[in-house]
Amino acid sequence: MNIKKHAVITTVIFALNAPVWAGEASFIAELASTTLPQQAPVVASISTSNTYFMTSAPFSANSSAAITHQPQPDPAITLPQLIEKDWWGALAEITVVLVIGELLYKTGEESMKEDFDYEIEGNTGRYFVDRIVTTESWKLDDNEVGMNWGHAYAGALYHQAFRNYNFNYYESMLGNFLTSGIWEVFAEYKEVVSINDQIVTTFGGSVLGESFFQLSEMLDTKEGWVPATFAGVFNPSKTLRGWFSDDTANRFDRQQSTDQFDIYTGALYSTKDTADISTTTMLLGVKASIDSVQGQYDALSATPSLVELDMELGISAEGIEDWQLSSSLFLGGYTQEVKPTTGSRESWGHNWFIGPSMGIEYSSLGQEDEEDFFAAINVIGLSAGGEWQNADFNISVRGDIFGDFSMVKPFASKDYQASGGQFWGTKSVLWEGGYAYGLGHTAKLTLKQATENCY
Amino acid sequence: MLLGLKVTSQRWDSIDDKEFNRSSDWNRNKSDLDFKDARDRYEVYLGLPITKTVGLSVHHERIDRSGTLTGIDNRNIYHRNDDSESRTSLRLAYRY
Repeated sequence: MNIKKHAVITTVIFALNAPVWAGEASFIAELASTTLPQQAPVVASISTSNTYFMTSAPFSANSSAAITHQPQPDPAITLPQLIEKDWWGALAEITVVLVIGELLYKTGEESMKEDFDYEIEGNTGRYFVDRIVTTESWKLDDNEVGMNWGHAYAGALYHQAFRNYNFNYYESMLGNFLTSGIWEVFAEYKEVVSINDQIVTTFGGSVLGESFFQLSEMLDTKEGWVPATFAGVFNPSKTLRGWFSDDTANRFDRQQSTDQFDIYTGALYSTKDTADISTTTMLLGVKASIDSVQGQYDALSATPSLVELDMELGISAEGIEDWQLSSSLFLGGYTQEVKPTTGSRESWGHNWFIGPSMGIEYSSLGQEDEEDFFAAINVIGLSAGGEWQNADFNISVRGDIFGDFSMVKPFASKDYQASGGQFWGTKSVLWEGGYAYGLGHTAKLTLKQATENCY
Repeated sequence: MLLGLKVTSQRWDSIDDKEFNRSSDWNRNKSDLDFKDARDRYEVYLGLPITKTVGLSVHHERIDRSGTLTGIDNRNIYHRNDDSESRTSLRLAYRY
């Protein structure tokens, strides 16, 4: 498969365009909110051509009405602390993150020299302009997996540097994209302008950063050292600032969402048919989500309304066997909810949603030659789901389809190398890292059926 | 009781445009390879509540993996690998 220049440019244009229309919606929200009293919560109306929100009380609310269908004109809650952008705060935080990054880069510069392809010769200004406006130095780099995946975490910090100061999701993604571009063009000026770093940092980093951002605030409402530790790791800047400030106002109203934070342990037995290998591992995992799809946030225009994060570590006698991380965001869209009569077995309610979504997935299963590795950035996708429920049963179905940019260890590598094949003379990333870049898709289908009071 | 079924299907094809692949002076990309990979993952699980905050679940997964490596410059190169993995786990979860 060949990737053409216009594909890269389209990616850039998408990254630039998304925040533009998001900013317009945000502006409308700000404009609307200024016409209302500024006591929390402020209720603003956002009119968009393709979104439709319904007022919905928390699921546990006591409703005596029969099945109700209450279409209302796009209500969305905008809390006062969501409105004022703190440009200086964002600038200070992104500067600190970049300075720390530069110090780490300088510390390890000796080992980076093999990545140096360019030297500034002649006009310095012309050199940097050419790095931006021509695609001469735009390449897929050949860094090791750990370093390239690390850009997702760097992107999460970039994203939060804006998100923590009241920039919405898309504005923070734009900030992330520009920061990553500055890093690639100026900080790593001797290296290629890495296309894969830009994609992983911008899209993967924004998914991870938003998940961590929302989950961190949710975890702050939980008791115990485990949620507190995860909250600190997920949003270190907020945690650090919390040590020196009493300003702990929550951005989100937990009454408008269904939260889940599970930790689990267990045992796993796996067998591979052809390789004839069996492994027993101990599992440690986290499953967390925030569902405000039927809530009242400014969903599609500014705040992803379904956040999911799964992490699982598998440890065998040989060490770390498996590591899986996945996160996805439903950005918002068309949603509808019809509630059942509380306590009635005859009364069925339903809700459904459809709209754009994004995701990220890292999967390393097995070790050494037997390792199956891929890291996929679900750049953009479409998600749809429905749920039917009465007093006793809950049945749900959901489907997702994403367009992927991925880093993959080719599954035929083992067979190829066992028969004497080598990666010398092929893509340098295959030789240097044992993986390569690909385009493709991820499709998911989930069915669930639960009885009342199910865990 | 919770009964769930999850299916994930993934397909990837390598980016082979040499203009965008970094090539070093000492290792020119003159014998390039194209990969096509597939992962299909099927999971069924059953969850049972023990208390309001503790739950037990049983999971069974099947992962079908398939991949080909094909020579771009050297058409004689072709390798294919297929395998299936079964993963069964028992999990104890705590909900905060």
